[in-house]
Formats: sequence, C-alpha cells, structure tokens
Amino acid sequence: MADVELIKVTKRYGSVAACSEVDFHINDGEFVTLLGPSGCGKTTALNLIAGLDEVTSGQILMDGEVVNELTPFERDVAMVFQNYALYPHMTVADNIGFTLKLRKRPKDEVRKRVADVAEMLELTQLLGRRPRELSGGQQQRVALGRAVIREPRVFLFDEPFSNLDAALRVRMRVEIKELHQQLKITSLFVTHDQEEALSISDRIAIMRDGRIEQVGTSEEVYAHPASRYVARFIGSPPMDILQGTLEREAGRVWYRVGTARFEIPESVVPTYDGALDLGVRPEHILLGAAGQPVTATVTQPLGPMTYVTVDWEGGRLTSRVPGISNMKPGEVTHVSLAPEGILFFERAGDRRIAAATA
Amino acid sequence: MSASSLAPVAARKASRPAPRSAANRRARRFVSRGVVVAGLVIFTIWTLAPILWAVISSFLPQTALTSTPPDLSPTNLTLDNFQAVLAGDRSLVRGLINSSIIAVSTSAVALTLGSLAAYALARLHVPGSNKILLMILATQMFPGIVVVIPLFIVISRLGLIDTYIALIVVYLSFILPIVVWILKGFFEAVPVELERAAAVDGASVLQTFRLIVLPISLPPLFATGVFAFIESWNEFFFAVILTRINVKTAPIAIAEFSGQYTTLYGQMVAAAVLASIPVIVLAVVFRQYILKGFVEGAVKG
Amino acid sequence: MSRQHGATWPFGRLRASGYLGRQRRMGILLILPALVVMFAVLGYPIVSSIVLSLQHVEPGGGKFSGTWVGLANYLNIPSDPAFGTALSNSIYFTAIEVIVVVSLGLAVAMLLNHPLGRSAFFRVILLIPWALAPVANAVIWKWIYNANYGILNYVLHDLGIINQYVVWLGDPRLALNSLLVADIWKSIPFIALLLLAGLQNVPPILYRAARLDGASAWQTFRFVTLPQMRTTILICVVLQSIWALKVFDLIYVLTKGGPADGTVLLNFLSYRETFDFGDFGYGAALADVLFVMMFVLALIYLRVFRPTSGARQAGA
Repeated sequence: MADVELIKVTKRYGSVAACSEVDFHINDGEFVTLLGPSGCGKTTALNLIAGLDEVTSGQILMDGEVVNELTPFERDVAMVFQNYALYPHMTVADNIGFTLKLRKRPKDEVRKRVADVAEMLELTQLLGRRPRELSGGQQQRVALGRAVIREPRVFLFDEPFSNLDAALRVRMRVEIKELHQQLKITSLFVTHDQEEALSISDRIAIMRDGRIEQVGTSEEVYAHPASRYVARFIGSPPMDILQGTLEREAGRVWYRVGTARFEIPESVVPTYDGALDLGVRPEHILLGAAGQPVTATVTQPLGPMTYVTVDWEGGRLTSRVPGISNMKPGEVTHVSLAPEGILFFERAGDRRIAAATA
Repeated sequence: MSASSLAPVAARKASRPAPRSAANRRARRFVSRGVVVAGLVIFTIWTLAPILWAVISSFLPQTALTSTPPDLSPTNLTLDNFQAVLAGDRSLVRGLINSSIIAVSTSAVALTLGSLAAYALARLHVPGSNKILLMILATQMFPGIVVVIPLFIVISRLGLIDTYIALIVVYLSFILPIVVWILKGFFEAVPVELERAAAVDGASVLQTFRLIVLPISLPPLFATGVFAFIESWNEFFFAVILTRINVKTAPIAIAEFSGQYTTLYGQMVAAAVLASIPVIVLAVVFRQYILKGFVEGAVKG
Repeated sequence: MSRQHGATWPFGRLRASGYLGRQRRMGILLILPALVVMFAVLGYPIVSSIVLSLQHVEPGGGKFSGTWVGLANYLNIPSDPAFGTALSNSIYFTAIEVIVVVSLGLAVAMLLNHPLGRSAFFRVILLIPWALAPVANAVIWKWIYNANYGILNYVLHDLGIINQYVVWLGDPRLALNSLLVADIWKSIPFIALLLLAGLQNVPPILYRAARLDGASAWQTFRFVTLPQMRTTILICVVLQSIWALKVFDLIYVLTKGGPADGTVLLNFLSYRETFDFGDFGYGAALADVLFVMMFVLALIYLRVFRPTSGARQAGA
C-alpha cells in the first residue's frame, strides 16, 4: 500500500509538453481514474508514474520517497496494459508466474501462488492454455492475474477495457471494483470513457492538454464541474450549454435565449461582470404544461427513459423523460429548468462561476 | 453552363469509344493469357536448363559426355564422377568439412553478436543509431579488393594465413552488418508493450531479450542464420586469398577441379553439384522466411 | 529546462538510473562487439589501403617492406594499358548487366505476379540460382561453353544457328559477353524477387482506377506500375551495379582475365597486380580508385532519384 504524489511533473517531447506542471495526490488504498480524450496526457502520466518514461522535471513520490530514479520493478508497481501484452509463447500459468520465476522463487511456491491467483480470477481451467487460445476477456483477466500476483504498492491500469465489447466492459468494471475492495491496493486507472470513470472511481482527475482540469469524486465532477470542459465531458448525453444573457426585470432575474427566457432564482445567480453561458443536464430539463413554449424535434427512446430534443427560435435543449414518451416530432410543449440543475460558466473563459451564496 | 454548349447527345454517343465485341474481348484475353503462359514456360526452361544439364552431366561418364551428340541414354548413368571427386587426396571432402566448420562458426557468432547489436539498435536508444545504420549499409558497398590487400598483409604478419580464425573473422566483417540490419527490422516488429510488461515484472534488459524477445523471434533468427551460412559457404574471393591447404573451402576445391582437371568434365561438374547441395537444400527449406524477410527488408531499406 | 540534453549529454543520460538509463547503458554494451568487429576488420584496412597505395611494397618471404613513393602508383594508372581495358570492360559489363537484369527481372516479376504465375514452384526455382555459389555457377557455364563438347555448341549447331563450333571463351569480346550471360542468368532471380515484392506493394485499387479510365495494358504499365515501382527499381539498380563490379569468381574460373585482357575487370586487375605480380602498392592504388568510383556511382544514383522521391512524398 502506498500513497502516490506528483509534484509539478512535466514531460516534454522536444517542444511539445505532454504533461505540464501536474500536481496530484493519490491516497493510500484509493482508486483514482485519470480521465480525458486521447492526447490529453493521461497515458504519459501513467508511464511516468510506472517508471517506463523519464520526467523532464518534477518529482514523483511513493510513500514519501522520491522514486524518479527507480525502475518500475523497484517502485513496486504492477501494470495492466491496453493490449494485454501477454507473453505469447508462454502458457497462462507461466505468464502469471513469470515475475516470481525472475525472482528465483522455488517452484512449489510459484505453483501455489499462481493457483491462488487463478482461482481468484476464475482462470484455473485455463492455466495450460496459450494467450492466442483465449477470448479478449479471458486475456484481460490473465493480465490482471499477472499484476495481482506481484502484491504491489500501486496498480496501474492503461485503458484495459477499451478492446472489449460493451457488455464485457460493464462486467469487467464490476470485477475490478470487487477486486479493489478485496485487495485495497492503491490504484490508478486511465480511460477516455467517462461512464467507466464515474462508475468505478473513488476520485476522478480530468485531464486536458497535459494539465489537470479538476479532481473530485464522481458526484463532485458531475454536479459541480469546475469548467465547461469538464461539464461537457462528464455525463452522457452531454450537458446542454445555452448562450444567452441575464436580464433583471421587476426584481426577478431571467436568462434570455432567443425567444425564450427562463427564471433564475436569486440564490443561484452569480455575481459576475462578463457574459455567462448557462449549462443544464437533461434530467433537470422539465417538459410539460409550464414554462417556455417549444417544439419537439427528435425523440430517442432508450427503454427506461426517452431523450426528447426541443427547439425554439434561438435555442435547443434535450430533456430526459422517464419511461417511454408519447411525444411526436412537431408536437408543441413547454420547457422549464429545475433550479438545482442550473450552472453558469463564463463565456470568455471556461470556468464555472458559482453563485454568491454557494 | 448552358445545355446548348454541350454537344448534342447523339454526337456525344458517337464519339464514345466503340464497345468491343464479346468475341474480340475473348480473343484478346486468350492472347494475353498465351503470352503469360509462354513467358512462364520460357522462364522456367531458361532458369532450370543450366542446372539440369549440370546435374545430368554429373551422372554421365566421360565417354558419354565427349561423344557428339552427348550420349544421354539412361544406361550410362553412373556414380563414378562422385566417387572420384570424394576419394583420393585431392578430394572434395576436405573442402566440404572446412566449409562446414567455417560456415557454422560464422553464422553462430554472427547470430549471437548480431542479434544483441540488432536489439540494441531496435529498442535500446543507442545514440547515433542512424549513423551506425548508414555505416552498416556502407559496408556492403566495398569492393572486397580494397580490404583484402591490407588484411592479407596483417594476417600474414600474424602468421594466420590458412587458419580458420582468420577467415571467420573476415567473413564476420561483412556478414555481421547484414545480420544486424535484418534482425533489427524483426525486433522492431515485436510489440513494445511486451517488453514493458517484462520490465514491470522485474526483468533486466538481457532477461527481456533472452526470455521474451528471442523466443518470439525464432523464425527470423533461423532464416538469418541460414542466410549467413549460405553467404559464408559460397564465399570465394577472400577464401582463395587467405587460405592455402589446410583450410581450403569447398568453393576453392571446385575451382581447383575445374582448373586442374579441365578435361574431366563430369567430375568437374559433379564437384560443383555436390558442394551446392547443402546450400540449395537450406534455401529451399527456409524459403518462406528468406522470401518474406530479406526481400521485404531490402525493399524497405 | 529548455533542452532535454543539457550540459551533461550524453553521459548524463547514461548515468541516469531507472528503466531508460539501464536500457541506454546496455544498448551501448551490446552494440560494441559488432562495432569493434566492423571497425577493426573493415575500417582499419580502408585507411591502410590508402597508406599502402602511397608506397612501393615488395613481399619477400612473409615480410612486406615498403618504400614511400607518394602518388607514383596513381600516376602510373592512366598509362597502364591494362587499366584502360579493365575500365572499359567494367563499364560495359556493369551497364549491360544492370539494364538486362533489371528489365528482364521486371518482366519475370510481372509474370509471377499474374494469377497464372502464383504457384510456389516458380518462387522455388528462383531461389536456386541465388543459392548457388558463384564458383559453382562458373563451373557450370564453363562446361556449357566448352568449345568441343559443350551443350551450347551442340544445340546451336543442331538447330542450324551456327555452322561451326564457337570457342566462346576464345575471343576477347565474345568471352566478355559469355561471362555476362552467365552472371545475368544467376542475377535475374533475386532481382526478380525484389521487384516482385515491390509489385505486390502497389495498391490494387490503382489498377482498378486505371481500368475504369480506359487505360490499355501498356498505359497502365507506364503510368501506374512504373511510377509506383520507382524506389524498388532504384534499389535494384544500385544493388546490381555494386554486384556487377564485384564479379570475380567467373573470371577466375573461366578465363583468368584472358584472352588478351578481354575479360579483365577492375577488381580482377587489382587482384592480379597484387597477388600474381606482387606489386602491392600499385594493386592498392587500383583498388582505391575502384572504391572511389563505386562511391561516386552510389552518390550519383541517390542524387538522380532522391529529389523525385522527396517531391513525391510531399505531393502524396
């Protein structure tokens, strides 16, 4: 077990900075995800922490000691790779036990520990097979086994599920979560899938262009995103962003977008000089008899809910309606916004501007 | 653009190339197929004829070969030429043994040193690797004569003329670069993540190479070894200059046969055939790897 | 930090511990033996050859005593009639061989690329001439060219193409051409294999597009196949030129340079001067001249072709 800390870690390739001044702390036993689109620097950061790449400047600490100079093995980290990276010429048992053989452990010990790990990951039947005979999910579990048998300080996961189909991916998430609860090893998980990040992490660090945008729990990044970027990245379908203007009239505050205007409760209004965008998630967009008149355009029935897109002159929103909706394209309805879901972002920059009383 | 600027439809239809009749098309296809078949037949005959004639000649006695026309009746077939060539003190056997020793040693050393060097160039961030690769390319362009004159002097002074070690080292100097070049390409094709996984598992650089990279690369290693063997076995120029009696290689023995027994045609050819069997067999057996690896490596190089 | 390397390059990076540092140190270690062999056995002689060429060296009972003569060896070269002959022979031999081998090789490659030629049989028979030792090849052709009993004379006479048996290796011009044929026969297969690989890298969709555009077979060849094959053809030309200049075994076995120096090539001349006549210094000078010529040739090739390939990459 160990905590991991990054202090002003920068990685440059020539003049391009893959990571810029990253400051980050993972607590002992925590499951943290690095989330972001390709090229944001999350895999670079992972490789730096693993020791597979050198930092340009900055320090990486584990359990308080600086590990910049240590090899991956010396850092006592284990890694699960995106393409599994199983040794193709070895059996499953040999793959898992390779690290022990390198350390010249006695054969009996190796066999027993491999058997234990195999049982934990339900691989016992497959121990004699070669990687090419296994399915994607099985291979990934072997990769997990190879990491688990190390009993490392830190687990590192490099988008391990991206090559699996959707159903398998969801199942593996549950398995990983169970594994973490069982072993309680500090884990750093890299992915571009925000749903994956939300579902399995204790905390999420969202990265963009080599920097960390926000670190927080699932709830924090979902309900209180630090920037418009985070707000649109987290959540599916993405948060709607409206570009309108705040108006004050008769002691009440309105947000006008085209021909529609939405009342904003005073407690939610931020103090800010510049132009503001309004963001709101589908579940906080309410359709019914009250509110601004709009026309429905597209409905996406998904089983437990339906997404209904409504248009008006100057704007559009996508609302989440529970169950199957009877709305038809062209139908006229009304839309209002739930106050607890209204967020404001500065239009010029990216930051979220909180209300005065928040 | 108005419609009137385009030629009327009828005129346009007339100017389109006339569709060829079905019979015309069939005839053309027949002709082109005929050309290809003829080409393949000519090519096969042209390529195999000298070899076939050499093999047949080696089984015919002197009388059959020196009659006009050559007496090809099967009753003449004999092993006399081969026996003559393999017996006696001028025999080919010594040459075959020496060539085997030298070729095996050269390929073994070339594979060992070469695979390590190739791995270093492929994966171990050697500074100046581009320059090194250029130098490797350059070594293939020297005429041997430039190098052999000073080498002859040095080797003579060291008293190493007509020794195995001299020939092996000299062969290594131009076989090693090719081995490195070819293997580097293959090692680069091994997924990097495998080596990273090995590092995380605690393997040193050499362990990664020995336990992970090499076992995966056995086919190209074999093929490159075969290639080195063939190049060593067939080499003549350096051998004729740097050896005398003890280390006489098979190619030299063949040349001697053709030089000293200029009228014993059957034996001359039999010696050539015998000495070529090992390398041809190796080339055919390993043709898959040779074809895939070197040819494509050369093109990409 | 503005530069990765900083003041401690390169040794700073070598001293670094960790994964990459270890790799770098091992990398240097592993490549050293191969480099040592190459430098010692090739690098030293090249320098030494130049030094030799500036001396007059006499071998005498295993000792080689040399006296400095400056550029005298080189100055003797132009007035040496054998050199002139060797030079023109080499140019002729190389030019003809390259042209014939690459053209015929391309034809063979196209035949083998055709559906009818896909069989493994053809690829196997290609490998045999390549695997054959050049000496063995020389012996085989020596037998074929034999003036009294050679099969070539017999067949040609029987077909009525010649009235009298030809002494193929007896006339200087004829002998050189006979050697050419023998080497061409051996060289076509490998070049054909290289070209075949190049052909198979041509995207088939280009052929389809050409057919839709109504191109004839010849037009397709000229405007699709050839441009795509440019690099491969260049490689084959360079390789074959180098190999043509290195031809030795054929000369040694078949003609020893005769008749009347008709089959003396530059490298054989150098060999003869050094090891038959014992004039090491002069032989070294000849070898160095040949070396420079090959170097210049390679440069010319690269010059002629690289600007185009660069432009092609830019426009691709």
